[in-house]
Amino acid sequence: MTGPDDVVLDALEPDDLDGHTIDELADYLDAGMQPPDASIDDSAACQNALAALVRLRRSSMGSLDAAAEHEAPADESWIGGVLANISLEARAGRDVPLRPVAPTERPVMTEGAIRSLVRTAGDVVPGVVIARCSLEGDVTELDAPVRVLVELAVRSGVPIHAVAEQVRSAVAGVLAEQTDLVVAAVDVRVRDLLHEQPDADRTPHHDDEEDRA
Amino acid sequence: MTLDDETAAAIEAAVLAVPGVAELYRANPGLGTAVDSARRLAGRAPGSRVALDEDVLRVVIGTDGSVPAPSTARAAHAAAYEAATGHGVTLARVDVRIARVG
Repeated sequence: MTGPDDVVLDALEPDDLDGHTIDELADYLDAGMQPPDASIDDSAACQNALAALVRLRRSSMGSLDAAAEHEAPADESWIGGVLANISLEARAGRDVPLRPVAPTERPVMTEGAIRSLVRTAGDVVPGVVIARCSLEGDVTELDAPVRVLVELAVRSGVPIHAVAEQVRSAVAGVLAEQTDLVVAAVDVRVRDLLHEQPDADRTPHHDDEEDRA
Repeated sequence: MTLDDETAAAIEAAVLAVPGVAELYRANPGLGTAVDSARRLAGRAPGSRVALDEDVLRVVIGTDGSVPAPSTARAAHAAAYEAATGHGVTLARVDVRIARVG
């Protein structure tokens, strides 16, 4: 199961999100982002995390929420793991160069912005919740080959191969359009299955199926 | 060299007018000693979101995704460079950092 086994939420959040925690951002969202907090509104990392939280809530409406309310702690850990990953992915991370065309130009995109792009592209595929995404390779070198890993949860009943290919294609497309990365592969790993059961018993089950570009 | 309010405001307005630029975030000084950081902060006009580090202008933007980010970065560089030099600021480089794609 994709979860908190490889992340330590409390230890990493404050610096990652410009002094805020993912819980604070969730509370801010719950309050309708009122009153305005400039330290959140003016933080790219916080905005990346908030956007991911909004999409997670939309996609999980009626399933993960029910799981959080009724299920065993394992489910809460799963949701917690996704939140922890959002927190980690939203941080700025490494500077990824864009191709300059003038000697006075040094354009870069943050790794956090790219991870957010990847997550956004995957989240729009119906029946899918993005659990984690990462960039593997020396992204600080222009033209260095990079592998993109996207880990998913798929709702029960949704054709896994088809949605995995949809996610792979969407991620490859957005990276080709919005970055200068040389993407060697987009690896899509289906790690969890969200079972469609009546309200109270939706449990993410561990699966591990990988499609490679 | 420091940025005065008028120059900083002109640079910010020029960058925000670039198609595809949605946000202008506060540029922080790069890593270095406390003295270096203090000097870099001094290169930024009060309240300004752009920073001048010696002869390097730092700009951090968010884009709306309507235009490919690399093109937006190039256009932001050109707009910032033109606005700065138009106000008499000599620049060796403009560092444009995209921190978010909407």
